[in-house]
Amino acid sequence: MNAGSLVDIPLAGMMVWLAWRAQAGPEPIGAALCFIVLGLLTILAWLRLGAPDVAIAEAAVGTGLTGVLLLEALAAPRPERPGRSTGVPAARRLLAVAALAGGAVLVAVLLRLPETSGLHAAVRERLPATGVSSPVTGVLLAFRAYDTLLEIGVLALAVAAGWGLAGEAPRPRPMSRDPVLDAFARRIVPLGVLVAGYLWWAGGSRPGGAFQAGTVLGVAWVILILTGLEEGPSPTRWHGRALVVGGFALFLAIGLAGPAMAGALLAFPSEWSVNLILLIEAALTISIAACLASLVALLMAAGEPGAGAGG
Amino acid sequence: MEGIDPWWAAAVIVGAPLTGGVLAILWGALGHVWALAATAAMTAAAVVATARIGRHGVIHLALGGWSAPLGIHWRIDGLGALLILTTALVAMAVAWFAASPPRRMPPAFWPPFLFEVAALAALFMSWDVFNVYVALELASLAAVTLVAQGHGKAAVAAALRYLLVALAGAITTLLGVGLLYAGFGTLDLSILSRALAGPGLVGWLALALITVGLAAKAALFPLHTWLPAAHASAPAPGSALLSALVVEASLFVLLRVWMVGFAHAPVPGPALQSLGLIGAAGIVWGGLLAMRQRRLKLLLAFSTLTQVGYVVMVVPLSADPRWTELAWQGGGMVLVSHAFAKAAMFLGAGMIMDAAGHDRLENIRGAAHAMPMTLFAFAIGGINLIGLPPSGGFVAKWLLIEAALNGGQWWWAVPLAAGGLFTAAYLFRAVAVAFSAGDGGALAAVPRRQEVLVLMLALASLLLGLFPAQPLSVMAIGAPTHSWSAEP
Repeated sequence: MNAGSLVDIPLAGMMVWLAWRAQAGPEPIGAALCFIVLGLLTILAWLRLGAPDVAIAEAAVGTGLTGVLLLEALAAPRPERPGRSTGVPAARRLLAVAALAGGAVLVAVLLRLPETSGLHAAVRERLPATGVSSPVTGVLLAFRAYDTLLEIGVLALAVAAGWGLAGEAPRPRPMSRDPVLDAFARRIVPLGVLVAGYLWWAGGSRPGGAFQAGTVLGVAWVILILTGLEEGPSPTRWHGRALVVGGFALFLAIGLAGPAMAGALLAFPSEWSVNLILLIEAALTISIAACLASLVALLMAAGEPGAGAGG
Repeated sequence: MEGIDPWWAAAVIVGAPLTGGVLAILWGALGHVWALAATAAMTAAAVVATARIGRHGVIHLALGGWSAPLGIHWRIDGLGALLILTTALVAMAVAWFAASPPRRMPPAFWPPFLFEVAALAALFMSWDVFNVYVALELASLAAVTLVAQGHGKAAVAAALRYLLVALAGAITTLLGVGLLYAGFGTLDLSILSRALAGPGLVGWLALALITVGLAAKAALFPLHTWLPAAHASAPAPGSALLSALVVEASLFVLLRVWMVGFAHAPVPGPALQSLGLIGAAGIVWGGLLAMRQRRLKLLLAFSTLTQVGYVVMVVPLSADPRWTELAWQGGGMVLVSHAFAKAAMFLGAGMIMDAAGHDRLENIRGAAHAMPMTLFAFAIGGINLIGLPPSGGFVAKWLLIEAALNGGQWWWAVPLAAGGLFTAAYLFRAVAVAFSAGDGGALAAVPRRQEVLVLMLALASLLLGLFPAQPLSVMAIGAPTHSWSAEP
């Protein structure tokens, strides 16, 4: 047993236990807290697996933002429920058995997987042609840029859909101005902006990129919303909508110019490739942040008493 | 048309609705203008692409210029091109319908509508299993949004249920896609197809997971329970798009995974037969439940289950390689003609709802006197769903039954034929009520433009039956071939 497994085995054990607690606990608040702690451990797991990119994304979205959303949803007034239903234990037990059996088959298959390196070699070989030196950025913004474009479309559409369903402009409830929170926000938010800027720039050569930078910036924005210092992007104002959809629009425009500039959709002329990628990533960073802030603002507005059929 | 770079057609097909979606978010008040412009551009590009495929064969494009396995490929085959053209035409008609005053859809309708159209086109072109998953996500989110925009709390509940099923389906599909990449190191359908000649446990598990995930999204029996409430709750233009095309896109992907991805795998006969059983159950169950419905939109929603069942039949009916093309054409004809017919019928039902204030079957007595053109269109759509000549539905059913009989699988001809009887039973009841003597005067007037659009959609499904030769020959271009019976 090496030093690594001394960390890994307790980590894996705790993750399984927390996952169990997160869905078995009687109280929603306890379940939410278990889920958030599970997220923190997942960050460590990704780091142990040598995937810092995923770890940063997990920290910002999986734990930070999801945690805010969960706690915000719990804080919203809920309709009275007629006691905790005892449910149909037979059906639940059957489901649990089926899930365990499915999981066992999956693990058995995964353990028997052949050792393939996937596309690592191909990515390494063609990466210089993209102008960036981080393989993750190369895959996201060049080799599989089309997937990324559609994913950003999903995010922008999610916000537009939320705005449409919420009806009028969501107005987050004014928070009581707490001097401690206020001082915290004034110190942490500039740091968040700085980190986001670094992550965006770093994406070209090492772990980082638009998704990580955008979520860090988005979380900073969410802190401003939570402390009542700022509002989310406003659907009724032109610039609010432009912030949300701008990254997608720029990415799409550059992609559609591809057939004329470089002979294929989403192809970049090689001499501009790295600059175009950084430009797209900058726009995506801001739009991802705006989308995340909008979603939190929407949820807060929906949680307000007397809010319409939102969310 | 010879000189046109296929890139331009392909770029416009996906780029126009995406651009329209962006504009609809930025300038929502003009949403209907962007939708009409985008769907018109898409239609033109789809015509160019189809004509080119007719002359030069399948269009193959590497996005970003990165060839597989590194990059993502588009491959537009004959059926894919026809489905894109169908999507563009139906979307244009739906957009025009939804833009008609006095009941023009609100600004919030247009972004999900346009993103949905783009996602459908992306699905019909994608040749990469992970990209298919991403496009399905976009399609599902847009579809759920369209459902939630329906009236009242019931629509929100139906949308939430749809969202949960769609998410479960997405995760299951993604697990299967992940297994394929882990096991075979590629996501490209052509390369996967060769690698999957020896699928092993990984390949079979991936096929099972992807099938279950897509079945949930395509509302295959027994994972169909979310569909009727969702499709009946959405506003009429949303229902038309959802029932005509969104379900069909997941089905098309399912056919591709089985018939292209696993074309060289030794797919066992019982697996094919059980997929046939799922299709047959959907045909019968959808028909039985549709007969019990007392609301027009619910009746139409249940009838979609029957049509979905027909399409799944393509896989077992392809078992004998000599009849694969016939089954593929039959399934393709169901997809294309059902899209036109169902869009017409849902829009027609929406007009009846607008005019009468409800869609309860017993109270639409005499509707045909107030809005004859719409009910005529509704009846033509019905002819297509039943599969009576001279509709596209008839040609489709004929080809599928022929494939069943020629391939020595006569038992599948029974549900294929019975589906038409069920459909006839409930549609005749609805049409008979509407055409019976009654107080049609109680109905409010409907815009003439909407009546004409519904009629044109219905006539399109009829034209497919009158002139089937050309569409069928296009569908044969790039149709899959397999070697399921071969040893690995």
